Amino acid sequence: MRVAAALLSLAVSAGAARTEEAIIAVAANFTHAAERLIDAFESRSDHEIILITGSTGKLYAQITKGAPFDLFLSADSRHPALLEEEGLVVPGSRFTYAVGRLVVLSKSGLDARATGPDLLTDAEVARIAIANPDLAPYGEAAMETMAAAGIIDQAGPKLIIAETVGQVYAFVQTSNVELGFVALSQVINSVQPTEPGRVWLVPEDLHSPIRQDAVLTGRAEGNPAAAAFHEFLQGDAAKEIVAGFGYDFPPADV
Amino acid sequence: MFDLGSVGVTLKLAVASTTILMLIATPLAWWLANTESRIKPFVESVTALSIVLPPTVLGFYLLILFNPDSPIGAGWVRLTGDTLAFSFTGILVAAVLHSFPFAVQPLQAAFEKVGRRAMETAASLGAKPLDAFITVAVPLAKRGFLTGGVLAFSHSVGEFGVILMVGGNIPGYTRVVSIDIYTSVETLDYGRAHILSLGTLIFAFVAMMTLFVINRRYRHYDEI
Repeated sequence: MRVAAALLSLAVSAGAARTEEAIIAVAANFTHAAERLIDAFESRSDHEIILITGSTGKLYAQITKGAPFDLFLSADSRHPALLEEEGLVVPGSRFTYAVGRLVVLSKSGLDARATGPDLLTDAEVARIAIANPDLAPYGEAAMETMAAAGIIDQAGPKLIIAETVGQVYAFVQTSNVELGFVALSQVINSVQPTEPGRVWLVPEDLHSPIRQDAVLTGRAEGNPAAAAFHEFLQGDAAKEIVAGFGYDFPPADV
Repeated sequence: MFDLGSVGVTLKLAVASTTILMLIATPLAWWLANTESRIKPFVESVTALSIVLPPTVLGFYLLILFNPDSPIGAGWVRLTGDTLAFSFTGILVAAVLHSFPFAVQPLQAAFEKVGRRAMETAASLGAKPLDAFITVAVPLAKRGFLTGGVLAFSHSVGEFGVILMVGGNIPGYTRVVSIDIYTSVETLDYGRAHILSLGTLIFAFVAMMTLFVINRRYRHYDEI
């Protein structure tokens, strides 16, 4: 009897919470941060968040074709702006949730003595992986960096094009390439603390800023889970988590 | 001008992998067709693995094996000065492994049909084993060679998942048609995706048509 009563009260409270679900599509560089954000969000909310990751260009294309994503966390501001122009978003929902930093990650045990842009043209470096510049803003920033350093001609033949910075990271970690352009967020809590020599933080003046915008898609209208997560992302608790992954914020916000 | 680079890489890959596959598959299929060894089911299972395995499993293991710090990867770098991952040789290894059963199984079936009697007759007429194999078994198993060849070639053309993981999408080296289509779709270049997809569709149809025509033409062998 007591068990039945307990079960009943459990069922009632679960029903009262009205759990809703939202699917968020996240650019690959933000994967780890998004996982932490979702954990933090779900611990203080009854809503459930489902995470999808991919390259910005791919997720954008999927949204334009009606993919069931409620919130899009892009790795740039261009793709969310395009969705806005196409009328596929909730008006006024676009904001910059993070400003990313590009790093060059070298494989474990790389014998290169050069640092900075010279590393990219070092004789020890046969292959450099970047995310596809047509799909991934971090790949685009990598190309800009090599152009700004005036080494695109030397580095060009060494380039390996990956799908996302996630794949670039895997290529470097399995030692299949010597260097890869990845996001600071991917290494800040793993490689950097233990082997700082493997990470070169690309100076911000070598590429245009990686302003990462979020936007609610038209589908999210009326979904309290999507709205709640969108709001949570703009709060201080979320910003603290995001900052912990090495992201900055636009000057106006600080 | 429409860039056909990926078509060239695909054809080169399919020709090379079919050639290598036929060279390896022929003796193996012959052995499988004639052996009574207890390890036969084991060898058959290993041979057939890639029919069942997701390409991602193969891709993952190859990425680990190809890495220049692993014994295989390091040996290859010492031998050639080049790494296996992100090279044409690398995707060729992947295609050969992945298409393996498609070459072996039709050949094995064809060799099993040749039967012991034809070979014994050839031997009693004084033919050496290799001689008997070339003049008796190979012509009788022609359908198996054709089927295995067409299947291995087509499967190599259709290779996608493994190459996505170990290829690195390099134009002229590892960007095959299937990867080219995928990238075109992702970058919303639907015009290019349409042309390449239609070409591949026509190829696939012709390949399957060839198979069924071969099967019809050689049906009488089964009736002997």
